[in-house]
Formats: sequence, structure tokens, C-alpha cells
Amino acid sequence: MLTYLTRRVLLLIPVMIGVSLITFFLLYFVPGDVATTIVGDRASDEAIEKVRAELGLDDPFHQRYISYMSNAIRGDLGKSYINHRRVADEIKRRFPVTIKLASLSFLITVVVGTTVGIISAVKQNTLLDRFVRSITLIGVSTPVIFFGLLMMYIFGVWLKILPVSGIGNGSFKYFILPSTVLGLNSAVFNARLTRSCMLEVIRQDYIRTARSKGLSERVVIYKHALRNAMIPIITNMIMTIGLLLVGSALTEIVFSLPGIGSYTMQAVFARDIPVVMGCFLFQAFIFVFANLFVDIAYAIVNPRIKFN
Amino acid sequence: MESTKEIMVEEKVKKSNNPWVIAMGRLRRDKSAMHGLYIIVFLTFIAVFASFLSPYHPINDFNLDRAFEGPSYQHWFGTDWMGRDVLSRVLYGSRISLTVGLASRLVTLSIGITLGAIAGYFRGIPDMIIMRIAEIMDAFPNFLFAIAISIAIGPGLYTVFFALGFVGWSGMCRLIRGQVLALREMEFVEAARSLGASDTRIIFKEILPNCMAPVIISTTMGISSAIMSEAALSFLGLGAQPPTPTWGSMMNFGRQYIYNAPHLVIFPGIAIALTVYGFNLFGDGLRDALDPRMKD
Amino acid sequence: MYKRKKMSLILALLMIFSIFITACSSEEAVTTPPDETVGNAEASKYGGIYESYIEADFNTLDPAFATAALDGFMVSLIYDALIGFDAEGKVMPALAKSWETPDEVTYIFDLVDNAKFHNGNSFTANDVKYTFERVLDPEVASPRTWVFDKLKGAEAFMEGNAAEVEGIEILSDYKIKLTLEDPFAPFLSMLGMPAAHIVDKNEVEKYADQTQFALHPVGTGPYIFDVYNQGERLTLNVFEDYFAGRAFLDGINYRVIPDPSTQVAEFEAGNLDELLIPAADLERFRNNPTYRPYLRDMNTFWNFFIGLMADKPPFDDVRVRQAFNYGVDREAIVRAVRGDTAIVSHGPIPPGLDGFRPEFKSYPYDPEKSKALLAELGYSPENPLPIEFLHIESTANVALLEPVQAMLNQVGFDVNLISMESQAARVQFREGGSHNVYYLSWGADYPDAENYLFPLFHSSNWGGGGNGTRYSNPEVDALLEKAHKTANYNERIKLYQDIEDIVVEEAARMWFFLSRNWRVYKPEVKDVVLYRIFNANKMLDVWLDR
Repeated sequence: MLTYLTRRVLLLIPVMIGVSLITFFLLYFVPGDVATTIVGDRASDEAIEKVRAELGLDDPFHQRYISYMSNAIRGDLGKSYINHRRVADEIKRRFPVTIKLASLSFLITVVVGTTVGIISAVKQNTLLDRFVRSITLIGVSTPVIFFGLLMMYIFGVWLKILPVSGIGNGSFKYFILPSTVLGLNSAVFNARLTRSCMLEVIRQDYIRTARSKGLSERVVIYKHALRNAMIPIITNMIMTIGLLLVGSALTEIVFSLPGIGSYTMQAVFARDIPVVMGCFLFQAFIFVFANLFVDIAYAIVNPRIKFN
Repeated sequence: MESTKEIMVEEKVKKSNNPWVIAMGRLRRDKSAMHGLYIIVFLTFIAVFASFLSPYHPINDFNLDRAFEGPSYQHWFGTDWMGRDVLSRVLYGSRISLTVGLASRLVTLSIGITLGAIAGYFRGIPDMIIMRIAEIMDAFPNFLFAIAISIAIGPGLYTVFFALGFVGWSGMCRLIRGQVLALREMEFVEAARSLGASDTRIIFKEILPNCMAPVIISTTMGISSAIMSEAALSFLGLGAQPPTPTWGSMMNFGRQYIYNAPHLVIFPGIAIALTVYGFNLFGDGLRDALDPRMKD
Repeated sequence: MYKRKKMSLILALLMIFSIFITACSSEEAVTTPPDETVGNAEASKYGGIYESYIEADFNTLDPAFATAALDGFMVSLIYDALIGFDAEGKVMPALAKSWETPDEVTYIFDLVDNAKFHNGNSFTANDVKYTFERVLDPEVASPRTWVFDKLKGAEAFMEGNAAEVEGIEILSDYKIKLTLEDPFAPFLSMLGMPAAHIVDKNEVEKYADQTQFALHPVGTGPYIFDVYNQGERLTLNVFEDYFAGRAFLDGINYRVIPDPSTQVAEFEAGNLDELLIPAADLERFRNNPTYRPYLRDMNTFWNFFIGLMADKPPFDDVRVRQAFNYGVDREAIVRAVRGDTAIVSHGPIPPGLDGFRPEFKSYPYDPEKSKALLAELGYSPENPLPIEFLHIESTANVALLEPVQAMLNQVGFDVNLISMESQAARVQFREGGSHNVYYLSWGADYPDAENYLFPLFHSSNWGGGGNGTRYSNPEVDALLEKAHKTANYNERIKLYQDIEDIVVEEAARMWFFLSRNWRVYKPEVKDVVLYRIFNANKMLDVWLDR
């Protein structure tokens, strides 16, 4: 187990190097550069050249990459080319926003997803099954840019029971609408998985046995079926955390949330290389660790799995 | 995790005699799935015959004096900001959306299957290299990575295909690899090998046809998420180029008129919802049908 | 059967959504209108935090680097310049209480003696000299050197051959003399640009790395920088010791709200004191009695145009450029797409600036003439002339350009719209890519007709300087240079009108429209003044009745 863990943590190194290389490579070939943003319109070519030289944008690829990475390894993610704020500080300030959004979305994913999944499995092919699946599917098949706006108007403008957007003082009520929009999406996948896992378990012999022993349906479902269907469901849920924690650019933009996703996206559009690099590395790190966590949790839940 | 997958595959192969026949039979009896299929067939029909079905040309028939008209007898879905017929644009839009869905999946499939098959069949060093690259790809936040790729390649419909297709390959690759790893040890593969079949032949003739079930399921599901992603890219201005009518760009434009001209966002919205709904229903059904552990 | 039932269920559900939406909007329209209007009769009150928003994060609050309009606006709240602009864009005193121009190249400013920086330091002529030299200093590398490079001795200073700029002379603590190399008539109004806002040497040099100053800006302006959380909000507090008397507001809270639809929703939920109404929502706000009394509108100085690349075929031929101009029905497009949020533009000089002629008209919509001109070159709708039309991606741009494309395709062009995200497009504009035509706007850095002609049409400004179409006409060059040196105001304006005649006759660009801003305020917001210049509003008039 310990050697396995060490190996996994060590594997993080090639992944991070790969992510940084690919990102750097991509940014190297992206048309447009940050110098045009810095000097603005009506600036001379000399002004642009000066900025480019100062930022080292004209240096060869390997030189820029090595100088960036040597700083990054020492924990210095650098400063934004545009507003000179430290990337690490900015990530530190924004990550709690993303965490709040992610955790609330996760709650919705779990509650809604599992409930819908169980209902549609237990009542498979009944009207109820079709109804709950249809409702969640309609929710998820409306793009965020519209669904978010609709929620904003219904709950923020007309009913006035929830804030429209932003993070206000950071209280959880600001995260309810964006989390619903975001969480419903993964809830559908969770529901689908729960449904098929439950269906699979319900057909197993020991459930039939339990039923034939005359146990009540509720006991059969919750005590026997659900517990055994739990492993893949939990795996999927933890994977969802990993995905949610890297932020959701679109939801953050629509709801004016200063999270990691919108930060990365704006930086990509502005060609703010240190910010893009810092964010992608951070997100990769979070994602890999979340996965590692999945594997460990998996091993604890299911001791039959051997680490190799 | 991987090891469980492999076990699952083994079971699958052992139990299936003539899996396709059984699966199709199951599918036909699954009402929801058949409804999904009807929707898909309906949409395909619209996409193919859009030019016959549309009462107007989606781009050229404009009339600025008749902008923002609500649904009427002449314009069932109303008109847009330059007086174009929204119905015609939605009908033509089905072409783009379905193409985006299919083309991006094609990109995912071709990269995923190639690399997955190589990794699973040859194992060893190719496997290690491919799987490390897949791990790196996984670590990128998908949507943001698609944005970066779109910007790097430059705007256009092909960019959308590629950007949306490329970000999904690692999942497909892993799926195929798992299947191939299990199948390559099976008796029928051994038999082919002992008869002197080449590796390419074994991969294409023996192994790949036998691991199509999960590929089909994942592709069906992927189409709907690609259609949703196109809408998201449109919002960021990275979708298809104007004046191509796409549902995503129509919705994105229409959402600002949510009060004044709701038909601008409602109808493309229904179209997207219907498509995603159809593919999801059908995908669910396929999963149920192709899963041999399901007993009748 | 069943499928149809299910489909109709979905349809019905979404229909209900749409009905809900329309129902709610009409319901709002019925609410009784409050009778009160914004009046000047009431006594102004001090206090209150003004809740506003910005669409994007700004780049910097260091005047020497503030180039974007948003940055310039924020700079003018935190800092002051020697001069300011009134609502109409006329120059008025600020840190300079008066000035005289003994000859064409000399400006002597009398400075206010009671201005303080936010850190308590007094403002003197030394700060002016420091600020201007800082912009020119090659070490600082400001992109705005062109604001001051016409000062006498600026060249020598920039090349490192002089320790000081000869043309900046401190006469006393509160008197400063600026001397230009050659007469340059618009110089005075250029002193109101963001780059000319005065900074405190002690604050700038407090930091080893000058970029840190941008994060801790200190000026003499009416508001003090408090907090800026990128992507979230910027908070400004009132400066009690402001030399012209403190602002009424206690502070301003700018939230960062990127999506315009979200901005509208926030205003309607009552969380914002002001809203720039998107074109899509104007009619709705105007027809709503709740909001109608609180709407304000103003023409801006943003002149939107379609640039025709004059340095290569086919637009090097004046007939093609004219055909382009004749082929677009600007009136109809502006009316349909922008409604009252724009007025058609006929030439480079916008209304509101001296030199503007209301009777001046450019090309009318005349598709037949357009076809005839193209036919001379052998093109027709059957054999169209292919052109690449580059623009920055945005819903608003696409809404305007799709009709343009459709109309041009009718007369014999084959327009290929290329929608690029801003950064990539800007490089193309600057360096000149494969595009034949592009869409952009030009706003006043300073309110002078010169600002709409010299950068756009002088051949020295090819590419990034403003002349993105690479237009070159020796006659226009000569006239522009002559105007720069013409001290007589009316004569100078006449020259600009002559230049306008030439560039419109030559169809150097297609002037499209000027934007008109509509803002709506909460009823408590009093004495709103809308300013035409982007950085003229120092938020000193407005007060809150709550």
C-alpha cells in the first residue's frame, strides 16, 4: 500500500511536466500576444517590441519554458503579465469560491442523483421512472447560458428569495443558484449510474433470497441492494468532486463568481501566460490528487482490490 | 479500478453467445430507448431534408422591416433580428448540431481506438507511453482545454469538431485498452494467432468488433454532450462562423431577448433539449440492452 | 403515438416557460408609475455607497499604462489631470485653475494650491514635471509617450541625451510652463488623457518594482482606492480633503459582472444603482413606467466604421470602396439592430466636436449604383467579388454584420465573415492579415477633430497607430500636417472639414454609426450627469437620497 502510494505520488511528476509542456506549447503557437493588451490601441510598434522584450516573449521556446519551470518548481508561479498580481495569491483567493461552489454542487449531485437513480431503478419502466428521468434530463439538456439566466430571473428577480449573482459576503445563499445549475448536470450522470448499478444488484440472487425470505421491500432496497451498488456510485461521486474542483468557467461567468474556472478562461483569452500556466498546473494537481483519493477510498471500501 | 474493469469484461465475453441479436431484441422491447431512437431518426430526417422542409432560406431571406416578429402563420417560429425565418434556421441548424456531434465523436473515436488498441494489444512500452499521455490529458480541465485549442487553431466549424473531439480521447482510449487487454487472451484470439494471422488482422478482425458495445454507448452519450458544448463555445464566440445557423449561436443571441422576443431562445432551446434528450434516452437503452448481465 | 405525446409534453413545458416570461414582463409594465422625477430642487445629501458594476477587470491603475477606456475611467476617479472635461467634452480647469498661451508653442499653467494626494502630501508643480517625464522615460516604457513627445526636448530626453525635458519648466510651486517643439493645437485637450494624470513621486518610488504602484494607486482624485479583488469587486472610498470639495458619495462599489444579461437581472433585482441598458432591452425599459422617468441618454464619441484595406486589391480601387458604401443600407440596419442606441454616422468627425457638419452626408443606400460600379470591374451577383471580412467576435458585432453581409451579397460581393476572438483579431488589425475589410470603432482620446483624422488617415500611422486600413494620400498627409501647425482655431477646423471631404469622397472607410448610451438609475440616484468623454465623469455630481 505504501509503495503504491509513493509510486502514485511520484507519477504526479511526469503528469505535471506533461501538462506544463503541452500548455506552454499551445500558448507558444496561439496567435496574438499579451503585449497588444498591455500597450493598448494607438501604440507604436516600438512600444510593443519593448514590452515583448521585457517579458521575454521573443526568447526561444526552451529558454522560456525552462525559466518558467525553474521558478515554478521553487513554488513561484509568477505574476500576471497584465496586472502584475501574484498568480499564487490569486489562486489562493479564488479557490475557496470554487470549493464552495463545488461542495454545494456535489451535495445536489448526490442527493438528486441518487434519489432519482433509486426511484427509477426500483420503479423501472413505470410512469414514475419515466417522469423523474425526463424532468432531470430536460434540466440538463438546457444549456447553462440559458438555464442559468432562467433561474436567475425566477428566483432572484421575480421571487426575490435568492441573490442573483456574485458572491456577496461569501455566504452560502449566493452559491445556491449556480450550484443547482452545475450540480444538476452531474446529478443526471450520477442518477444514470445509480440506476444501472441498482438494477444490476436487484437482479442478483441474494436479493431474490432476501425478498423470498419475506423482508420488506424497503429493507431489501436500502439495506441490501443499495449497499452493494454503492462502490461504483461512490467512485463516480469522488470523480465528480475532482471535476467540480477545477472550476466551471461558464457557470462562473454567468453568475459573476470569481472562481478558478473564470480566472483561467480570462487568462487564456488575454494570453496571460503565467496565469494560464499556474491555473492549469493547479487544476491538474487537484485532479490527480482527487483521483488518488478515489483509489484509496476504493481500496478501503473494497479490500479485494490489490494494488499493483 | 482497472482490474475490476477487466474482470467485468471477461464475464461479459463468456456469457454472450450471439450478443447483437439478443441486444437488439432487448432494445426493441425498451419503450424509452425506442422513443429516443424515433427522435434521432426524426432529427436525422430533418437534417438531411432541411432544404426541402424549410419554407425560407436560413441566411439569404432577410427583411429588416420584419425583425423580431413573434410566431405567425407565415413564420411558425417567428423571425429573428434581421427578419429571417427562425423555423428555417432551426431546421438548418440541425445539420450543424448533428454534424458537430458526430464529427467530434469521430475524432474521439479515431484517436481513442487507435491508441487504445495499440496500448492494450502490444502492452509494454507503447502501453506505458500512451497511458502516461492519457493521464496527462485527463489532468486538463476539459472545457478550458477545448477553449485553448479553439483559440490556437483559429475559428471555424472544423476547429469545433477537433477541439471537442480531442479533449475526450483519453477516456475512449482507456475504455478500448481495457477491453483489448481482456480480449487478447481469449481463446478465439489465440486461435487466430496460431493460424498465423497478423497483429493488424487480429486487432481489426477479432478484437475490435468484440469491444464495440461500450464504444457505441459512450459515443451515443458523447454526441449530446458535444452538442451542449457547441452551445457553450458559441457563448464564448468560439463556435461556428457567422452566418452559419447553429442552435448554440441562435440561443446565445436569443437569450438577451428573453423578455422581448422569447421565441428566439425558446425554439433553438427546444431543439437542443429534444436532441440531447433523444440521444440520452437511446444511450440509456443501449446500455441496458448491450449489457449481457441484464437478464430478461 | 407515445413519442408524439412525449414530445408535445416537452413542447408544452417550454411553452409554459415562455408564457411565464412574457406574462411576467407584461405584469411589470402595469405597475403604477411613481410621479417623482430627478429634480435639482432638492438639497444634495452627503453619504451612501453607490452600487455599480464593471463588465471586465481593468488592467492597471497606473496612469502611465492606462490605455483601455475602463482603466482611464478608474484613473480619473483616483487621480486628477491639469485639465478636465465638462459633460459636453469642453476643456475645463482641474489641477490647473487657469492657463495662458502667450504664443503658439507655450502654455503657462497656474496650479491649485490646496490639492493633496491621498497620502497627505501636497501637490505641486514638481509632481507635474515628474509625471510627464515619467511617461517619457524609456526605463518606464509607457506606451503613451506620444502624449508628451511633442514637448520641446522630449526626443533628447527619450534617447537619454538629456536629464530633463527642456520644455517642462517649473516657474514656482504652483506655476509651470510647457513648451512645444512645434505648434500642436490639440495639445491642451491631450492633457486630460489618462496618461497625463498626476502621480506622487514618493508613492511610485516607494516600490522597488514600479508595477506594484498599479496595485496601490495614490492620486489627488475624489476617490481613494480601497480594495480590488480581481473578478469580484473594486471599492473606492471618498477622499475627504479633495481640493474641489468632497464628493457626495461615501464610496463606490464596482462589482465585476461580465455577462450583460446578468447585469440587467441584477439591476432589476434592485442591487445596482445604475445600468447601461443593452440594445436588446431598451424598448422594454422605455415602455416600463417604473423605469421610464429614470432613463438618461447621451450620444457618445464612439464612431463605428468598416475599414477597407486600401493597400491591396480589390479595395485599392476607389470604385470598389464606393460600391461597398453604396451597397449597405446603414439606416435600416442601425434602426433594426440598434434601435435608439445608435445614430448613423456619415463621416469621421462626430457630432459634438467642432468641425461636425449636420448637413454633411456620405453615401446613400443605392444598390443599383453599387452594382453598376462593380459591373465596371466585371463583377455581378452571378460572378461576385470575394472579400474577407474580419471582426472581433461578439453577439453585438455579429448582429450588425450579418445584415451588412447579406446586403453586400445582393449587389455583387461575396462576403466571408471571419469572427475572431479579440487578441488574435487585434494582431491582424495591427499587422494587416489576409482580410480585405474589418469592423472596429474609434473613440476620442481627447475631444478634438484631429483625434479622428490624423491617427486614422496619416500615412505615418499605418497599422497600430490607428490607420489600420493603410490609407495613404499625399494630399491628406499634407493637410493634416498643415492643420497641426495652424494656430487659428477656425482655420484649423476648416482644414479638418476639407480632409473629411476628401476621405469620404475617396470612401476610405464606411462610417457606420455612433453609439448612443442609455442608462437607467434607481429613483434614489439624483443629479446624474452623463459625460461624453470616457474619463470625464469624476462622480462628483451624483448623490443618493436614501
